[in-house]
Amino acid sequence: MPFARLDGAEAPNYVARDLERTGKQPAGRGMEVEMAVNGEPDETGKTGPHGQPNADPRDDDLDRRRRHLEASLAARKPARQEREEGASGVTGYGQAMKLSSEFIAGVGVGAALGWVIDRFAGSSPWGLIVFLLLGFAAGVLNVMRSVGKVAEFGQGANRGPDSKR
Amino acid sequence: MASPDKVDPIHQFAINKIVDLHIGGLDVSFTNSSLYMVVTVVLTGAFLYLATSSRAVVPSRMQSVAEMSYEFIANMLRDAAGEQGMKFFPLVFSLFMFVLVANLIGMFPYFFTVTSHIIVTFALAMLVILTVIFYGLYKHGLHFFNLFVPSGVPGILLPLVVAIEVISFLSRPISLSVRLFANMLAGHITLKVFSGFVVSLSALGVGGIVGSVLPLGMAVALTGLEFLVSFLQAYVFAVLTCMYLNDAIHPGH
Repeated sequence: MPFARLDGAEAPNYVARDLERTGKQPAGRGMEVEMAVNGEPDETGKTGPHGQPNADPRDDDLDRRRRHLEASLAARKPARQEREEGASGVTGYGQAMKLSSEFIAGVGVGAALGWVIDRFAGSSPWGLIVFLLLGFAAGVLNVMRSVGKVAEFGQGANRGPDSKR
Repeated sequence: MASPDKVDPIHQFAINKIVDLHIGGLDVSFTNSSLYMVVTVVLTGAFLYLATSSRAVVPSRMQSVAEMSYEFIANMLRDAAGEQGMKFFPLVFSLFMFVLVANLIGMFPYFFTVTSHIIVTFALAMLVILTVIFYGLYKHGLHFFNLFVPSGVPGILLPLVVAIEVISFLSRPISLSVRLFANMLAGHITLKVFSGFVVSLSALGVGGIVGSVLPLGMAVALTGLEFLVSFLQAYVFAVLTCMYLNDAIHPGH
């Protein structure tokens, strides 16, 4: 029983959804994950307050069919996102723009910070020098982060679905 | 360039005052930029209002578009920031719609592109970052600053790493705004330059007219690319907003 397995094993929602987003698992298991996700409260909130996490999904035929539809829709979603990522990667230009703006922003903020510190502390030019170098490091960090080589803010070393939140 | 007034790729970004206003020594004139911002907001509001005014179980085309944009942002936000992030949905949705509609309005010839000015995009980015900072401080207090302290760093390196993390955090609004602004600016300039080639070349006679087919084709292709960029940049802006909000909601995991 797919529901029982995942619902029992994991904390609600987030983990399952992360698995869904990474979309790397084999098709059969991915399907189960999606169904479990959509068996849970989820669903936008636009229809008002919704059921509890453990609401029985089989109490209503229509409800179950709706969930099933959403599950199959959700199963398509990772592929679609993948394609979107691909589109931005294909342009290359967009990627270059993104990475360069990350880097320049880091250096720029470092330099600006150093300049302001110099101005108020009268330590010219040391603030500028030190903070320009720190800004350079921050720029590199930004770039590494935006290509996913370094963990996000406030996180440890590995960037798996579990450490994400 | 033959005559600079004819093919001036920068001219389209000029700010003109429509209503001159000065309040307390501040220049708060109503410019063409303000006009297009108002148009953007009115258009977005009117569209969403009309699209959702006759709510049907089987949606009309307009309602379908409105619902799709809702679902799109709602899923994005829930993916990035979890269920708690949904309280920021109005902010993210407004930002996305504003940027998207402003970009698309800018695609009309002779129209002004609001997002091609860095001060506009910077204001939007600051709105996001200030929301992140204030909400993070309000919700988590000083615990919010754990964001800047990565786990597992040796104590001696900590000041250095924290300084770099702080700078990296401060650079976020800059890169967020520069990215949107630079994309729109560069795209519109490129488009204008290639269109300008068509004009200049076709003034050279028959050979020029034949030759101008190449830049014309380029301009057509670039127009398509620019539509893609318009969507993509609005999307990227919204995604990054969601990611930053996630930091405010769950700092230090």
